[in-house]
Amino acid sequence: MFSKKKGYNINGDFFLCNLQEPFLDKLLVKFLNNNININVAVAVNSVLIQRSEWKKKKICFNDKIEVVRPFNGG
Amino acid sequence: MRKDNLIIDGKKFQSRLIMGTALYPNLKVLNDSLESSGTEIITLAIRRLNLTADDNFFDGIKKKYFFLPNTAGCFTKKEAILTAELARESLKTDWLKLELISDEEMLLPDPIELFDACKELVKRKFKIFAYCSDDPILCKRLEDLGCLIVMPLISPIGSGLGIRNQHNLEIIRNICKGLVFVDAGVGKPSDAAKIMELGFDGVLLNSSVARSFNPVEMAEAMKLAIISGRKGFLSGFIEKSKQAVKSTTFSGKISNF
Repeated sequence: MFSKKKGYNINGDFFLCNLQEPFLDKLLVKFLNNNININVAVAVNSVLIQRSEWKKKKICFNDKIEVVRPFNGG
Repeated sequence: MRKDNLIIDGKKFQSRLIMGTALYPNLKVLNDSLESSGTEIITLAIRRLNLTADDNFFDGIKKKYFFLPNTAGCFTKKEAILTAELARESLKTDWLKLELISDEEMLLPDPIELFDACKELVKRKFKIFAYCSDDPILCKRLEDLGCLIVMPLISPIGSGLGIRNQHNLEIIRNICKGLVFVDAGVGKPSDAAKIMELGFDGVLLNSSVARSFNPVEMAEAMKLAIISGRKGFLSGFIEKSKQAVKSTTFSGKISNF
């Protein structure tokens, strides 16, 4: 039997991850290797989720999650 | 010379140069160039976090600067607004260099998307630095809309072509009463000096320094050019004349032979 791997769509890639509680903050802890204090900002399905809301934001497997940070630009 | 501070959003600045942070050969050259430019404001893009890449840019730049996030690479109002919201969240600033381009070849600003996006972002309390084409009416309309700074190009991004339409720039400077910077197209320090001589409030540049043979020296050259152009403008230029105007009196000279 094949078991379907669980994960989330982050920055256009599949991020393999099985969460006990499907909340954004839990996912980000795993995605960022516990380094959540860097200047990241997050959108779920093209809507900004403020840092203060990460704990309350439930996420689904088909959500499109964007995690961004400042980058060199002109 | 009287004090000539630049005031943006209630904050005083001594430098009239905003620096981009792209295309530098490495972080050390970037930091050294920012230092030698004397800039106090730097612009940054917002991009997806790539955990596999060696992305230490933001950790590596000095945090003494005011950050001006930008929407570089956005083609639509929707994309620009989400990028703006992410930028505000990430950098904790309402400042935004709004950049909406229309095509990948010339990277020219899309005035219609830009104007629409500006309207919405001003409502959302962003302080907009609007990168736009050198159309005087568009510049005036953006100013009237409530943009903090209007920033017309002088030629396409990264082209280094310098001023292509001085006449338009003169009209823009004349009809816009608020802050107007020039953004994009600067190639040489003399371009920056000329812009300041025309009475603009400042210059935003990137490629002309970052892609030069010696970015650290070029950054200083740009700083000096901007100071020079500004001092010249404030000092008042002499009127142009089609005939010579003698500087030395003829009286007292020895007689004609």
